[in-house]
Amino acid sequence: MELVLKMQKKKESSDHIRTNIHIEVRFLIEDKLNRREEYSCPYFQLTFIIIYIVNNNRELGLSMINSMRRTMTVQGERVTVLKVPWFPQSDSDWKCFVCSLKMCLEYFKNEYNNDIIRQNTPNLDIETLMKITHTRKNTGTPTEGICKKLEKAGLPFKFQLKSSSFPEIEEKLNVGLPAIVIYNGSYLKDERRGPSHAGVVIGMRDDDLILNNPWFGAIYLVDKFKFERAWELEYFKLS
Amino acid sequence: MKQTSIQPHDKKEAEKIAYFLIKSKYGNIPYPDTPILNEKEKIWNVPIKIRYPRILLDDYKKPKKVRFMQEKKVGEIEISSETGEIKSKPTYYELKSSINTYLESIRTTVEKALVKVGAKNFSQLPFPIHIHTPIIDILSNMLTVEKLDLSEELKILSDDDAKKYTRHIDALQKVGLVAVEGTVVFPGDLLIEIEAKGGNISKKLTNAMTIFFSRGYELIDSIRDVLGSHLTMSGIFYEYSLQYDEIIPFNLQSIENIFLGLPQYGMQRKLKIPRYLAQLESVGLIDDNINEKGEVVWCANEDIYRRILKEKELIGSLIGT
Repeated sequence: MELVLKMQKKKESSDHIRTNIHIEVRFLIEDKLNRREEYSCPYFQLTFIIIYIVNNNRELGLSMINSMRRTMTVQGERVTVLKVPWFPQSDSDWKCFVCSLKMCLEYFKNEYNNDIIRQNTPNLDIETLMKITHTRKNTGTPTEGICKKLEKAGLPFKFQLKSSSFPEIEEKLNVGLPAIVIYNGSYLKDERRGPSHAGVVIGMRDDDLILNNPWFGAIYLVDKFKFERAWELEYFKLS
Repeated sequence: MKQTSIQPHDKKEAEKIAYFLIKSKYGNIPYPDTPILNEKEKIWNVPIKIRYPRILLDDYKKPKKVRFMQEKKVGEIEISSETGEIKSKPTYYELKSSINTYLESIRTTVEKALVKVGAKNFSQLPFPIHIHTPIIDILSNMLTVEKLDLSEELKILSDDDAKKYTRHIDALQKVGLVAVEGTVVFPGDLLIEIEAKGGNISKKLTNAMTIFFSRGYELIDSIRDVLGSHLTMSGIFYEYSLQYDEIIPFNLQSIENIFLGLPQYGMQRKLKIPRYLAQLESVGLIDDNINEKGEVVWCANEDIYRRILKEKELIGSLIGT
């Protein structure tokens, strides 16, 4: 099996119903006949892209996607979520982004149903991710140049700033890809503006997002309507 | 970020420019507040604010609740209302310095309240803890030789030590424990009252220190010289409890992380932490307990915590939501 990592940017889509900063992960699977399959994952303002060549182009079938999910009862209802592990932010208030990034890397490293992706996802600890992203005590993670910082650190992904929407996130969840969303955590709690906060979307229902929230814990249900305003405060809704 | 390409004619656009500048340059924690238009200068002034979350975890690292501290302005961005150009902005280090000053002011406020309320407890710490401080020297002299001629005594000290003694004599004078006439220091009215009540020198010193702490809590720099690490460490328990609105237990690792992370302390203090905890516990400033996981944990003393909560004038600005 030959493995080649290339980088490719994805075109920005301008017709999102509602957008937010997020990172998107894209895997481009290309066989020897140059046939390509592309998978995207909405993510906090950035895009992971892996391009690799394999002998046999393998799409992720339903059974493979299902192996990356689990079904459980939350607040009396059955929900299906991706097996993204949860990393707590502890009492430090500036690590939400790196904790969210760590959750996704752990998912791709340990749960994602593709050997090549698992083997090429590095096992990075929180401290290393803080250094890579220039996350600093009391001020958090600056977005400037964050894509280059992550790429320079040798992560086998392409990162890109990007906007998103609920339908887009749901579409990616359906193919087993989680999303990091940035929203105003303070507004969601008490309708007062505060710092931006990151969390990983691991599932979705008609009325709720299901987040791995570095503050509130794993499988945290948020009403979509309430979430929207906290999301919009981060300036990424297109009118 | 291409802020300069946007033409902000309204508040919303100015806020958006400030938002992208803040998030790209400083981080996700600061945020822009509502812009204020300076019509004369044609400038939008956009305050940069912080409002820190405090995440309370249980013994198993599961989050129990999140509270937010009061918001605080830590900088300002000026944006031309005509062109959208950013006219001025703080550097990262200016913003960081402003944030540090704010966090230090919180620590100071909590320590003042704690010293005021826990004066008697602090005064019961064994005197060898009060090293590097002339306060005990001065009070001991007052209680034994009854006067101190600074013109003679300070001559033999280094300039730095002489300044330190002078500063502490000034602090003791402010709380009424000594009086100064020219270059001679005498016992103040409060020290004379303590002497009149009798007891040995050690007891009189303890009583004098109680008064110094309870009346002199505003002189926090002098008190820090006396109590040093013990005040810092006990302050951590009360600061976090006030921010979470309930008494927070800390295991050894948690308290080490916070204490050793403070700018004035380094890893060399790590070995001393268990002793500090034991000494603070022995005078009732903190309590120890065993959590559900069988770990030893320490927390603020409930009585002192409740009394601090009543010091609304001192700590009112710290209470979050």
